[in-house]
Amino acid sequence: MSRFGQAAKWRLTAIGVLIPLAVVAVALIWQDYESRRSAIQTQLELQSAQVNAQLESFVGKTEGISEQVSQNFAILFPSVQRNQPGQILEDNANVYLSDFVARSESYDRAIVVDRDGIVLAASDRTGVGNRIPATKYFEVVAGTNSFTVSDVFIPKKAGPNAMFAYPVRDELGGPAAYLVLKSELAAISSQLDMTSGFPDSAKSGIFDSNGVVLAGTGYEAPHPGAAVGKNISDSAVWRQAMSRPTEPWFGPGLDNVERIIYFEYPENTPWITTVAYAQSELFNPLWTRVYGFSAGLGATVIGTLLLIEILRRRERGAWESLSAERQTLEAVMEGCNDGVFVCDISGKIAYVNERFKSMFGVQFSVNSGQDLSVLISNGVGEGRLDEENETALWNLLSDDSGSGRTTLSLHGKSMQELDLVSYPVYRWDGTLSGRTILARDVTEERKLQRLKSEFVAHASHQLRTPLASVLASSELLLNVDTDSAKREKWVGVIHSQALRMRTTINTLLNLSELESGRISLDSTTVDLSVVAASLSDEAAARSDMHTLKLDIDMDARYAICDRSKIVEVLQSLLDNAIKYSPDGGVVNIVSRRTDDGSIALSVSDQGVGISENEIGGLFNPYERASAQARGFSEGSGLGLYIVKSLVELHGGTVKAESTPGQGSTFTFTIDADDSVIGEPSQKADSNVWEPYVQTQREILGKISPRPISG
Amino acid sequence: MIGTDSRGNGIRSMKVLIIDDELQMREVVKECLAVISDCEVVSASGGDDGLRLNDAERPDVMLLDMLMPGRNGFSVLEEVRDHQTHHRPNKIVAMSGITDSATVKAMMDLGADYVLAKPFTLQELRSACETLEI
Repeated sequence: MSRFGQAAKWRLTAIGVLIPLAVVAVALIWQDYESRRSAIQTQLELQSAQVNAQLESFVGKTEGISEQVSQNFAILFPSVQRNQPGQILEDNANVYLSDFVARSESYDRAIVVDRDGIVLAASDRTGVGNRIPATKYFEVVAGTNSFTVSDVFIPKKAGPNAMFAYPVRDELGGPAAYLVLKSELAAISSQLDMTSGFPDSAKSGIFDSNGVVLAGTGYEAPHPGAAVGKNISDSAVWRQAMSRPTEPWFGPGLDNVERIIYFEYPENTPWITTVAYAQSELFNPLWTRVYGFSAGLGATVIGTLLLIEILRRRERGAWESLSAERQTLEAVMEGCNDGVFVCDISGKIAYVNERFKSMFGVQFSVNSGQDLSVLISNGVGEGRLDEENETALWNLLSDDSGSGRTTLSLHGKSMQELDLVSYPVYRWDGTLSGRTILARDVTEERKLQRLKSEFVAHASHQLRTPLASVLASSELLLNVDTDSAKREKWVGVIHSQALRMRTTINTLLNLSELESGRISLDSTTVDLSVVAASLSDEAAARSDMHTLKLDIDMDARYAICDRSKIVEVLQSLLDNAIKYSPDGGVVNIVSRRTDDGSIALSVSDQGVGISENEIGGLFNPYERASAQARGFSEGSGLGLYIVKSLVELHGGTVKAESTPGQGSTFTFTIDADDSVIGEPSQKADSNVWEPYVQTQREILGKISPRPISG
Repeated sequence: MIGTDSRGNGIRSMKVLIIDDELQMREVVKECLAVISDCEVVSASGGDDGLRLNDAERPDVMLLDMLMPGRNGFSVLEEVRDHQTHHRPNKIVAMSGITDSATVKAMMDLGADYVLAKPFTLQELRSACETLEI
């Protein structure tokens, strides 16, 4: 899976390609070498055999000619048979020999010597009567009764000569004398086809048994190794030749060039023939091919390396984009509000985001071999999960390929509700690779849902209650004969209840308007003393048990606000003050400047108060409504929420303080209008309440003996 | 009509206690009952008042509003069920604007004999009376 693993894989692939390539290349080179070698050997063998055959043929021909000439000589000059040492023959013998030599191409001299070496006749008439030098060849020749080829004879002022001796037989058939033919080896070799089809580096030669170069192609003087006439008996070639090998020899030639050499030993001669190729002939084309193959192999290697590099770069590119994608994905995962948990098919944790950890309160660690059981044993164990939930969780997690959903209730400091969705994760080829679990904390959502449905129930109760009276009253009007006094009463009920319904509906509409944010402000300068006085008068008029007091500071009198909305706020607070002080008492409306320059307006009562745990959710619409629904108390429960929304719309704040049993104080802030301070008469809505404002702390509210309801 | 039959069959002596925080409601229901039968009607404006009146008047039937400030209808039902000291009317009709099945079941479990959904028509009140043989 890792990037390095991939690179290793490519390297393996490269090695897997290169090694067979190298093996094939070596095999091809070897095969090439072998076929080349075998072809050259064959050629050498043939060549060697040909040279040998031609030499043997020449020698054989010479034997036949020698026999003919010696027999004729004996017939023509019978005195030679009489075996009288030193007896010189008549001149015609010389003429005969001379004629023979003249007719022959191969022999340049012919003599007849007796067994003591005295020249009896000679083709050139020289040395007749003299004893020829006791050469080694003659020692070999003397006493034999058959054709003999001499070793070599090298005169001082001419090339090497070959001597062929044939006995001139007496009447009994024994050797009476010898016919000796002399041939220059150069002449012999010129008759041999020693170089046909040879490459330039080839040589072929004839050596005598002493190691003297007799003739040959490539041995002409000046020769770097040895020329004709030179003795090569101290050379490696000669030592090899003396071992009479039957196989070609590989080694340094006379010129120290590595050669492949064939030695042949023609019959009836002491000579040795050689045919030699420089080894470069053998290897030259081979090396060319080796270089070719090497180049090809090199190109393949470089190509492969390039391919690997390209693939690696592509892989790296893919890896980088994958890694960037992963980073993005992780950022998204970490940023999202849902818990994300991913495990592989064996349940090992592959990824888990912080949100998930905090939800379950467990430090999961990736790559530590932890598996799903941690989720249950640590995460939701320790009594945080009851048995039913644990079973549901196990079922969700152990389902191999299905997707599922379950809701867990975690017991902890507070009850936590988690919505878990589990999906299988598949690889590209469709096989299962693991499982992902998305966890969403639905505690708040569920709570809100509950509160909302309670609110709806409560709101419907608020509408049904007056509707019940309306319905029943109208039915009484419709169905029953009643006197006019009663009819009037039922109509009155219908009217008052309809008004009540209107209020409820208005509140609901107000709420909807506030919640949708479509409300706008129409701010003007408002004289709070006027507004408060008017409202408190109305409120006092509704209750005969409450005393309303107005206390507005001079510098906290003018505010910039939307009059109708501030009226609504104050109205609502006053209604509450009266409602929650059922036993009556004083309701104070106080206006003061705050430290930061705004106006703080408070309404306080001496009623039942609000408990500490209730005061927190006081301004939450659904919280409040639901609390009321549970207690089945009066009121929509939305009043304070609307108050808060309207005040905040003005940029102010609202707060509640209460001592249960002693009363509550609601205070909200609002912007002051300092431009009218000092000239109140001009800007005031009305100067009716002027005296109260100026005297301050004047008791305003009064008792009105009017019942709240009929 | 059934109402007349019922009236003729000695319901004359029947005493009904209405407990509802809404004055208009109390009056309207009282009037409706008067139309349906000749029963004697007493009424109370709250749970505590209602319980007191229940023990004092010992009514045959209690028409009980469930949602009231102070002691609500559920509490009244509990009191009557749990404490022998309280009078137990023959029939208790729970009146409520909230009539989802869970709430109805809760009312029945607490001892209500009939649940009358608010708002109700005269005919519905009459049906209730018939069913309960008031």
